[in-house]
Amino acid sequence: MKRVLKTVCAALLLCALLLQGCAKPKDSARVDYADWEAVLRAAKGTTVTFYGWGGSDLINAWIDQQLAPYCKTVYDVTVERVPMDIDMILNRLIGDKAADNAAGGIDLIWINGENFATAKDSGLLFGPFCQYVPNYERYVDAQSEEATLDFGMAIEGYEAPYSNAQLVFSYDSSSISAPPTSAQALLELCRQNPGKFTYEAPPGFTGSAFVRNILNETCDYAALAALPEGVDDATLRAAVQPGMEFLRQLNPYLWEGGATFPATNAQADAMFMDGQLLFSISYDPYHVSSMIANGQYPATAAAFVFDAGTVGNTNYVAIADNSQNIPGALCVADAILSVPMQAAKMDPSSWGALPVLSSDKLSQEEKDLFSAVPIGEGALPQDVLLARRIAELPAYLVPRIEAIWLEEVPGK
Amino acid sequence: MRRVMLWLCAAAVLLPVALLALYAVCARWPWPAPLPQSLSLRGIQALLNADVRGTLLSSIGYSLGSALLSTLIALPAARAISFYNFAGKRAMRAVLLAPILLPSTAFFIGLQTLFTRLGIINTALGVMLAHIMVILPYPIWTLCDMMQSVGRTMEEQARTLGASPLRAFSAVSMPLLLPACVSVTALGFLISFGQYFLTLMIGGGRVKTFAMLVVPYIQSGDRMLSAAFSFAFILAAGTVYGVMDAVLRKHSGARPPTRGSLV
Repeated sequence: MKRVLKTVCAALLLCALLLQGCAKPKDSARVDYADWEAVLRAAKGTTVTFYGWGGSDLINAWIDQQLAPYCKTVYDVTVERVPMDIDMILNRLIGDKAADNAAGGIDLIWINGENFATAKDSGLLFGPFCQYVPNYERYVDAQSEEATLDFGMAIEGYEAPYSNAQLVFSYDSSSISAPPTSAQALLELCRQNPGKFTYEAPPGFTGSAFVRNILNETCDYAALAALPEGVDDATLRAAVQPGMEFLRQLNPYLWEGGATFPATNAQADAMFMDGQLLFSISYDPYHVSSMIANGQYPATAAAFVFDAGTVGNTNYVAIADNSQNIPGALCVADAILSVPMQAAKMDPSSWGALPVLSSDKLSQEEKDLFSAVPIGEGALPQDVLLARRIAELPAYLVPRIEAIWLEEVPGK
Repeated sequence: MRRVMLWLCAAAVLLPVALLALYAVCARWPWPAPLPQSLSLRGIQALLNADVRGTLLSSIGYSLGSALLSTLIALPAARAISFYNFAGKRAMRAVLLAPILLPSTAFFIGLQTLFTRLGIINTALGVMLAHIMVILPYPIWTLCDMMQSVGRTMEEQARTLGASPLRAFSAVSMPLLLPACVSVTALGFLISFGQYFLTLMIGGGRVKTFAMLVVPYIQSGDRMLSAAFSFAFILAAGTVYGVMDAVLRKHSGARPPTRGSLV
């Protein structure tokens, strides 16, 4: 019996090895990436795997129905979207490295913040590559903060901008007349309407951003952002103390008295849709108009931001160090930074993400393409958002602030 | 009374599924409105996408393949464990249970490293092998019980009447074991169809199964899409299970006399 099993396994493994041997990937090691024509030639007819979070049907559809056909037409590159959480992607890359697997299946990765810091520090990324991408050279201001720093981490050409995001709040104008314009006003409104607000529990992405947004109004945000990596716990705790104090004051007026928080932002958003909450938070700047358009928000819903601003970040694409198709990945990065794709991505009915191209580098016709995008009902225009945009804190502080929140806020 | 209980049980199973179907088309349902305030076909449209249909079909293929192979492997294994004594039999039993007993994350990470070295990571073959490992304990243990209750006496009678070992097994024991084989294959299918984490680790996202489309929507909490995809998931699993069950019923109608009536 044992022998039978062994034989079967051995036979199957042998078949696998043979199959694997036949399917030799295109040799991308010899391409001179600085020669764009050579990159185009090497990329032609290949497939690029694009790994990233797959929890939004809008974003999935944008990649499948807009980016993929564009890449096929312009570069003859097939984009295969692979939905996978970033933790898992990093695990796989680390696993590949541990197993000396030079032939990984991951090409392009949607990434930012502390995950980028981890991946870059562990040597999991290919780069620097931005200088090879023509549309990066043409449209991105390489000196701008979003092209040089990602959550305070030096980018150094290891990731190319994908989208700009900014935290916005949603409210329903039929239930409250005027939205709060500051953290203090939000607290006041919650006090008058107990149980009608909550936020995703950090380290959830949006909830964590909300907490940083509160820190912006309650603490010395600039001093906080200047704290060095490896700052001692006592100093960090003291620096964020006013913010934690504010959140504890908010607690009794939250849903479930602040003893517990929704595990995902979509849960909190669903509670807003069901009328259980007065406000919802999103890191998608045009979330409100997308949701009104698909009927999930009432037409009376609208977006607002605090006068002191809301946090914004840029998300990026990076290339795996063991990618088998670096020329193809470079083409997709180039497609992402093209004017038609950035304009299509801005449309709330297809995604609603702010473009990353520098407006100084755009021609008038190109600018018109962006201003022609209908941002839909209830959303704030791009210039209003950008005027009230504050930078994210350094990546190394984010998980530590999340840990402090967990200790000091829920149920306190 | 029994009928009431039956209806209650049916309601307990069907009501959540019905609610799932309702959530799959309702966009806004604010409390305390008794009915949804707006409906949307967003969930259904996402389901009808050609890629989604393709993934569903290939997913059914992988799971059926893994389940069938598992049953084929389990059959001789169960026979050996039931009827033969060999060195290390107890250790073998423990090893066969290991995929259930070991913490799955540890098991999966080991598999991932092993498969990476073997070069079958990111392949359908790797995913099916991994699924077979997870499924195997179930058919082996079920078939062991079945083998022991069927016994070998009738097969021995056939042997004394001159049948070859293979013919004795295929003509006498196999028909008695077939219903059990069909049910464990159906069970194996369900186990494989529901694997998410393992498929993702071994298939690297390249081998797409239906569970991989459903889970991101559930994790992100998109109620309409998770409801629509979960409903389709239940429907697909239920249909395959139902077909197998129908095959089993059809077969057991023409089943040879049971052991009791022979003895």
